[in-house]
Amino acid sequence: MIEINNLSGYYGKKRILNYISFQAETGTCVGILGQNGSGKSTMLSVLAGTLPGGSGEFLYDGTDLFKDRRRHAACVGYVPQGTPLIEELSAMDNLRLWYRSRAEIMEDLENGLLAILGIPEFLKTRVSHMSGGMKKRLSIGCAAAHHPEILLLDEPSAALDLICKERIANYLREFKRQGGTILLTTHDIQEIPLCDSLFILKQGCLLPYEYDGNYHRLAGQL
Amino acid sequence: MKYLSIQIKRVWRVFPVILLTTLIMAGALGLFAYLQIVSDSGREEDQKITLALVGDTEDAYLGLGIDLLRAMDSSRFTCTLIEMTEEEAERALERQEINGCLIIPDDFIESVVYGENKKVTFVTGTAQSDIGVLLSRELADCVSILLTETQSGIYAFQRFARQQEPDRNLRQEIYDINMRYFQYVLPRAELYDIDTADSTPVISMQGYYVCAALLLFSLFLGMAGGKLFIRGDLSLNRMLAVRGTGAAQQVLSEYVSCCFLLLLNYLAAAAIFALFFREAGRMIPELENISMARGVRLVSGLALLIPVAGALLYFLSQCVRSLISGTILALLCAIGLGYISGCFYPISFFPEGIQRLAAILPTGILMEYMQRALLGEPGGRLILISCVWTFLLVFFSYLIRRYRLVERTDRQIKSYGM
Repeated sequence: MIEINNLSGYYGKKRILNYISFQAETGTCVGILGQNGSGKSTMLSVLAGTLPGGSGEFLYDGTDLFKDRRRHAACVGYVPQGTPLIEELSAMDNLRLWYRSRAEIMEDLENGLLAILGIPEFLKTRVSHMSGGMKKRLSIGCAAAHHPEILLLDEPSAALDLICKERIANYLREFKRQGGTILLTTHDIQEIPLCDSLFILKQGCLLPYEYDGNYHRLAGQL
Repeated sequence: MKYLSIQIKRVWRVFPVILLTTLIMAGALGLFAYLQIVSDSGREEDQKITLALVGDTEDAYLGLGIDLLRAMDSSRFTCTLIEMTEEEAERALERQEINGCLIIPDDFIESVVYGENKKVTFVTGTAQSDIGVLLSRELADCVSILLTETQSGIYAFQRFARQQEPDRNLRQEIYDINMRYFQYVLPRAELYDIDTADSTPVISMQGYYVCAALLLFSLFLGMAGGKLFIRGDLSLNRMLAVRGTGAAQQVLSEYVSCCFLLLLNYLAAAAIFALFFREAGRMIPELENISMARGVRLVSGLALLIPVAGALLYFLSQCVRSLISGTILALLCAIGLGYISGCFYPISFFPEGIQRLAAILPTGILMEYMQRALLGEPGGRLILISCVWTFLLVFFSYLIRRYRLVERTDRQIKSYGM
């Protein structure tokens, strides 16, 4: 189980995250909704460890991952909004950067997470020649190369076509089924069914939210 | 290590494109230089200094002196003398058709006859002390001395001879003394020779420009190759940092791959130079009859260029966030540093202040070091200073990367209204 306690983040003297606390059961997906600039990406960045200056606890099975960096690196996979890929190289080369061995890549390509993401289709394509959807799928493949138990995804399906969204959703369902925990930020209504619990991040505070299918009401809450 | 090997692979993949781009840029520069050389502005007549002669030049001896200057003196190769009135000379100076004018005073001949020696005045159209004006002044001084000293000598002899033997025909004697003066004055350029002390060998002009071209070729690589190291989106680097590849490892891996790119470039440049000299059937004097061992020592010695230029290019790429600003910065630095360090004009042409500045800049140090290497001299303190520069540039790159890894993105900062 994941437990976030009193998570806060600052920019200068301005507090962006205001002592946020929530829990997520193993094998579930938590969705974070909010306006642009509400601090969703900052929250994931603090949890991913890419943004220092945060405080609080990030407990996973009782261990504070903020204090145990080694465990953090082993347990957490982070897919940022940008493109964490090397443009001049192929998908295979990019995967090599994150995987321990070529054999592991081949295994995942045959019947692992890379196969679910459909990466074998463009394994030899250069990143600079890939579509946005291919890049996003490859980014997820790279982030999950060490088979983390927690996956942090910052708007994973933004500006992607339906087929691509479906591929990513299939992968996330499989990840949950295998006991992984997902924290994702989204603006996409189609991703909401993936989430087992939802929160709205507003003015630095996290409020639980239950989506009833009424899009307009959700927009009003944000 | 994995990040390093991936970076090396990346450089290897894109090197042909980078080399081609660099060659095109170098070729464009070479073509520009060639067109400048063959253009009208480069004609011999246009390169001469033109001086106007203003004043009474009808005296037989003065006229003879000026004719001699025009027809026989070595200054005729660098200077053209044109007779003009004062108004014409002023207009020509304003239109910059002449570099200066020599005003011969009205009673010049009388002053010379009576030993007063009035001076010839030199007027330039500009107050700046550029090399053209300096040469013109030097030449005016020479003309003034030539006319004044020789004429006064001839007239003094004539007066003395007439006082002693008033009825004697002095035509032959005056002719003789004129010839004697000309023999002394005209070959004045042969009175001295330029030489240097044996203990300080001087690099040939070809050798100097090979060093300059090698340095420029490396600096221009920043324009084509900088894109490999410029990062607007640091998502990858942040992920790497989380997974244990911190700022120091990232910077070192990228710097080493930048050096690898420069190494490939260096080998390509060496091959191009070798091909060029072979096709042209010429060799720079420092490399004539060079032994294999000395050749290997030279190539490895010149390779100091790689880590220093690599550190400079890598540092520049870390200072910017977009490809356009990176390319502009690389271009400005290549031209600016190349100019100050003597890649376009030999550094000895520059004022002492610039020479002192070049002596502490990494590019200036590289220029001096490469010249020494070409002459077979030890690098000495230059190697040490180059190492210090390399360390500093890589260290500053590390500080920039460390700062950028933890800063919020522009998008986030804008969102918070900051």
